Amino acid sequence: MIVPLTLPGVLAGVMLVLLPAMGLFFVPDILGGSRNLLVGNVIKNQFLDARNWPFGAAASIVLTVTMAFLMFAHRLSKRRIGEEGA
Amino acid sequence: MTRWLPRTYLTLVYILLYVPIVVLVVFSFNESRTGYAWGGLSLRWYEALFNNRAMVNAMWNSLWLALSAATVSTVIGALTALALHRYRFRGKKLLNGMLFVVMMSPEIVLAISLLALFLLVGLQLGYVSLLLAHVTFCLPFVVITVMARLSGFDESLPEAARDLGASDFTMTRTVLIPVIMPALLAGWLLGFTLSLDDVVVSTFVGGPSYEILPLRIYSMVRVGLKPEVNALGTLLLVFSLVMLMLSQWILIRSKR
Amino acid sequence: MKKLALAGLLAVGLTGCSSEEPQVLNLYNWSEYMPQEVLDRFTEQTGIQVVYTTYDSNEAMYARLKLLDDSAAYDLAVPSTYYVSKMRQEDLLMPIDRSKIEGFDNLDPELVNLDIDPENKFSVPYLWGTTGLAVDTADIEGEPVTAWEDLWEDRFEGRVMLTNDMREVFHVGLRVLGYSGNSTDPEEIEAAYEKLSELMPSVRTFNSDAPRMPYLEGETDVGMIWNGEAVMGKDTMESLEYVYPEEGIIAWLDSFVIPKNAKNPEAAHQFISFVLQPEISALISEEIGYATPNLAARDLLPDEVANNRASYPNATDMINAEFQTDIGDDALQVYAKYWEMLKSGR
Repeated sequence: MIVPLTLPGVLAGVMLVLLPAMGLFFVPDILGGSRNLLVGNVIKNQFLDARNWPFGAAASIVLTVTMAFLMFAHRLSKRRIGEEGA
Repeated sequence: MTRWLPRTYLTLVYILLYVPIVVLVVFSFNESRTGYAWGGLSLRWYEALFNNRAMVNAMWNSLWLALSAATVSTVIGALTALALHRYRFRGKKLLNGMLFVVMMSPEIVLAISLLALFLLVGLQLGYVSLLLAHVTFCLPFVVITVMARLSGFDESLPEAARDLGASDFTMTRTVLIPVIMPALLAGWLLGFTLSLDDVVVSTFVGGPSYEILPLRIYSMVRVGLKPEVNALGTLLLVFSLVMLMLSQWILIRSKR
Repeated sequence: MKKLALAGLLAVGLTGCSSEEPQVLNLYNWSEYMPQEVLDRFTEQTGIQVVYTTYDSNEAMYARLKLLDDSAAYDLAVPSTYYVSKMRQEDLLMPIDRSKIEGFDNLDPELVNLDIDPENKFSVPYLWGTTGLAVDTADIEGEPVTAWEDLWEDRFEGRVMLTNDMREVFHVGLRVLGYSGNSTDPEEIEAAYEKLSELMPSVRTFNSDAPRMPYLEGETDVGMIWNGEAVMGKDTMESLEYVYPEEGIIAWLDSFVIPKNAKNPEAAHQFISFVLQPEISALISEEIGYATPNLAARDLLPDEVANNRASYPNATDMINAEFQTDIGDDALQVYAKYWEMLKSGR
């Protein structure tokens, strides 16, 4: 009962954390000893070190589309959960 | 019976959240330089901080940038929110949707797009590029805050004002602005904080002619932990707490 | 209302721009590669403010310079050997007017007029140094570490640090396999990648901002380090030793260059002359532990600095040493590809 009802909120919370976290390149740089690469690091490196803009741009697009898809899925699930709850 | 479980859980959560901050504050008063050994109480890192010209410069730059970015985005954002709330026009849905896109798209993607744009138009990277970028990512937050306030706004109020003979200007001044004032302040503060601690966008669109605090800290921390950074972190913490209390106080007062 | 907003915007925009009265030199340099004292003295003497911005790799410096090409953000940069020739060939540099430079003749004849920049039309040597092995002798038990190859031993699992520098890390991989550190052969580079990926489980961290810090903080005990960092590190931690590996150290020379669109080339020339003064060069070498190419400055160095093998290697130390050279864009692309694969770890 509680889980289905709070699910939209939980999902929204997950999204709120997930979205910014994907781009934060400086956290692994400082805390991860540059050993672990996130999408953000790859994009930043392509633009600011390797100068491979097309690849960096492609990576950005993939990231954006993933986000858009997640948001779409979130909307959809919210609607479905809403219907079931009612 | 099982009340200890949620309690322990909550305690753990709070420990996780606050211990790092406490550590930072405590060590900003630490006398010793290296490692995490306690060397006695001292204010030397605060002194070192204020003697560091580059740091102080970056601090002023950051404050000024945050002030201007928050102000500009509040003005534009409030007008946008009003337009979206009050009028029906072509492309309204599009405008609304686009604001969300800016808000939800990953910061790094926004940063790169802005960089590419600035280079394309030949804008020199510095204060102006930073300001434009910061206004861009602050804007949706202001619009949403003001819109939320407006949605509960009684439309008969401005009508009543007009019926009583108020001009558009008087109505705006005496009815509209007082009503949305808390939202304006909240949006402004939101923009101010967002701008003040932004690293991702500023890394890309900032130039050496205008160095800001987060980037300065970032490059300092990369060269190893310095106690000055702890001192700075403590100051920023105090600053944001004061700001928070101020905003709460204004909110409470405005409700009366 | 709208007009008001516009006026506000304008006011904000205008006051934001009007703060650049005193002369400014934008120096783009490696992290911790210039003592603050030198900058302060330069400002004191000339009245020119120095804005010191840092990078942690040649690649990052190059990308940023290219990016800001037109907006001319930097007046002076300090690329390593192979990037001097790359940038010179790509027409990114401004010729240095020797008549405005004083003290050029103090420089070691062996370090000027190199292939990277014949007659030094575009560059003036700043410091040279080496990348070798760092060993925290207090924490390492068993056989002493004497070769790059030793890093691959099981006992160092999780304790190794590498510099965050593509060319240097591959240099080590190539040397261990017996190839030249400047190899352009894709097969050799791939072999080096294979070899290095065996090392990856041992690698705790990459650091090119301050490679001494992971050793000082106890995070890593063995690995790569720049000689100057090793000298600075030893001041705080006596047990940190700089070792010349059997396969040979990596040697490099960093030079001042003036980007083509620099806004204040006059100040850049002044700064180069300032640094070339023997006492300033000596101060730099003493403070940050790298070797100065300035022979007049070397005479001024205190004995413990001049005789410090870490800063100034002797002939035996330089056996097998290799200077980094320009390998061309094609090879660079190959390196970049494997570097990314190496760092993403899969």
